[in-house]
Amino acid sequence: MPVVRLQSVDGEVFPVDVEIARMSFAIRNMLDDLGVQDNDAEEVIPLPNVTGPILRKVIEWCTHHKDDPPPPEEDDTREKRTDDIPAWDQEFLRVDQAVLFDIILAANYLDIKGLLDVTCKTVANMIKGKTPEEIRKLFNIKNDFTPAEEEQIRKENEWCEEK
Amino acid sequence: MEKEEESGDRKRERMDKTDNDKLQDDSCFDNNAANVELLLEKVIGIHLISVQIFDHLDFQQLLNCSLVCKSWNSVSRRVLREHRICLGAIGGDVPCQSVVDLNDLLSNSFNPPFNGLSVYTEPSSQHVVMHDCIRVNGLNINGEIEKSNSERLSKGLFKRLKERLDASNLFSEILSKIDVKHLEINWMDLTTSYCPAFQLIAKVLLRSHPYLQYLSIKSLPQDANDSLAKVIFGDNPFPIQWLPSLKTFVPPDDSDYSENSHSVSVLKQLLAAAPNLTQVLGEISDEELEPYFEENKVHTIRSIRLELSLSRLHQIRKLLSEDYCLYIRKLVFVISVPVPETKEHVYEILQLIQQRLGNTLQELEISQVALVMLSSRKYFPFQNLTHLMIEYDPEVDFQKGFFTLSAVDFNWMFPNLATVEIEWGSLTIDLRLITDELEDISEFRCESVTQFFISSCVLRSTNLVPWFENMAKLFPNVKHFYLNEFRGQNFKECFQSVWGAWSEIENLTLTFHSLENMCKNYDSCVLGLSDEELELLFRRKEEHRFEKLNLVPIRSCIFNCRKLKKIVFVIPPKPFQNVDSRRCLLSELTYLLGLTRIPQVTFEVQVEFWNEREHQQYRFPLDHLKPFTNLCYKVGRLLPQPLLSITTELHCS
Repeated sequence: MPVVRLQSVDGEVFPVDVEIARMSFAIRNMLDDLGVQDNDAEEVIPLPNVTGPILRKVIEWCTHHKDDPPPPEEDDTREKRTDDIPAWDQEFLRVDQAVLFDIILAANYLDIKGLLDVTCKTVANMIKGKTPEEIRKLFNIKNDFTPAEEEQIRKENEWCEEK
Repeated sequence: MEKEEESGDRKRERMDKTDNDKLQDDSCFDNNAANVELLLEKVIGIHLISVQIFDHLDFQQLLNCSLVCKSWNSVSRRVLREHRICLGAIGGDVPCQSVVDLNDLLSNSFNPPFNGLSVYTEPSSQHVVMHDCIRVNGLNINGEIEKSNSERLSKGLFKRLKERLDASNLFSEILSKIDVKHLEINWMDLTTSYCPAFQLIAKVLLRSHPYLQYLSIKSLPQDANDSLAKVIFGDNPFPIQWLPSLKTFVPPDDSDYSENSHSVSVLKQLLAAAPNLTQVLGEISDEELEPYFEENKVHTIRSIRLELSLSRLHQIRKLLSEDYCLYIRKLVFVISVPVPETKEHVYEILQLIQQRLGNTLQELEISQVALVMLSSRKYFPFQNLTHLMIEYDPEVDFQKGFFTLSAVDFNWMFPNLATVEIEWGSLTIDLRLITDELEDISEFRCESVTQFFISSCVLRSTNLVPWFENMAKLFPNVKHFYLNEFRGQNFKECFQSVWGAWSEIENLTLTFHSLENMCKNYDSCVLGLSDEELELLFRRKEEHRFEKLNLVPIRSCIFNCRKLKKIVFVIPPKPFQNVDSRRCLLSELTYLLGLTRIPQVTFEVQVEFWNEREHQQYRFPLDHLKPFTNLCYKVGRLLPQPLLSITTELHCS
């Protein structure tokens, strides 16, 4: 199996099967643009936005999902579900908030749709059913509204009608 | 913006520093709170990510997120405007006053959530207010106002309104800020298109027709049916395809067609005017198919009602032929061929339905007889079907001496079925249609169904318990049970029967409609006692220490359902009359003898209101339930359809 070498920002180098690396559209484009052939095993691809520990997690996820069918086309009318996260992914994402956010940023930078999707769902699940105060507490967010601004938003919310 | 870039640079610097620190301290992950905060800021700051997260939240959760902080507000408002339909609702008793209030609200808003307006009027008198306010404030009117309306104008309320607001200016102000992309018209009155409110709609259409993406017409004034375009454009020339951007169209209801054949002409005009139409929502009847064939728009149909009779056979065959691409998601199938001689026609169409709609259908409404027939010849399963509504006539079972639904192989036909609804009906079908189908069959079960909806039964009460048991045998994994009061019939008996049939249920929701049932006491149903036993306990409640009393009910009761988590009563906001309200619904006996023994169970009463005012006036009379009830008030679910709703993109300054 041909291999590419991915280098994290902290200098760690990870040899990865090309097929797995190509799950990242960013890497796929880089490989295609560079015209890297399957036998260019020594080619190192630097990834300046991803740290070693996070890159390791990302590669672990991609390796586990390498045989997944391609994700379905976006369909706006489809109900956005968050209760369909596979058990393995749930366990994989049982990490501290910082790691979760880092994986999201890496998935976005590397353009790995499936990983971005499942991590975003995980954050959405953390938000669900919580009051604004509970959300602030959960993520340690400061309330930067003035009382008047907060009152205005409350009023607006009372006016909203969903269709 | 500059400030934001600066702070972005600072963030990046901090990130770099953090990364360097990471290298130095050699730990795998850095989890300090400041880092988490920074990372979250970064995640929320990237539009693509934050929208993807928030897009998974429902409407109420998005509103909650808008109150967290400024950056979360910005994302949640954006998702509401770009990915949802969020309407500022104008209505109530004095719609024009709410226009003023909305205008005030918008003028103070730095990031409004709305992408449209919903203007509704309640029937009759309120509608008059709307008309008159528009009239007195000089919106372009070509017609006459009914005399009675003019009389109302002289009353104090309207005089005051006239002095205080200028509705046409306010509407103009709001409409000047918007590009209308979504328009819904629900015309309730039998007025003509000269009615001022309709003139307003015509104005909106005239200005926005090139950009409209969504158009819903529930009904129109009579004269507008003949040529809607003429009402909008007058004598001016207009392009044939005057709705070039329209993607979604919701045609008038089926019932309107039967009363008013002019609606078909509106449909023809609109299908011809919209070259880029991709979907028609709302139920289409097989009688209305001709314009779709003519305009080559069959692929846009999403929901259809097929009523099979000899006269319509040709049309249905044509629809289900290979000539058309079909993306139908919901089918209502009715057999109007009541004799065995036409049985093969029924099977022919059922086979076509399975072959042509098996992959797309998500919802199916069908009678129990047709269901038995469908299942007796399996051609192709409905892979994506999740919701099944069965029109059910207990007479069929009674005459056949057999629980007919158990002859349906649900697992094979509908492998992903999750929700079953039973709708009581009186089937006028010759039962000889399914004589052979009910011989030598095995009794099937359906494991995938978890939600079950039923209206209280029209069965004779003696049959209730075995009937519920049969249902439970067929759908053994029901977790969420919804019992809806149906004309007051057998509600109490049904409630009682649920416990014995489904021991695995987790949520039980009972919806009351009649005052009569709402004023009854249901302790006996919950506790499995007779009314006499209960009366005795109630009278001696001061003497007993109920917490030490052990009940051994002989009838099925709440204790049969050990996995139960929640009981919900949904009641209308009607006042309890001529009854001891301390006993209505449930008394403290249920609490002391039932709910305290199953601590995981919560009991909730939801009161549904028509409007906010009704909510404010309502005084909940069930004080005796407060110690063990979670009270929820829901406003708006029962609101009438909007007269005019416009979804737009507001230009936020």
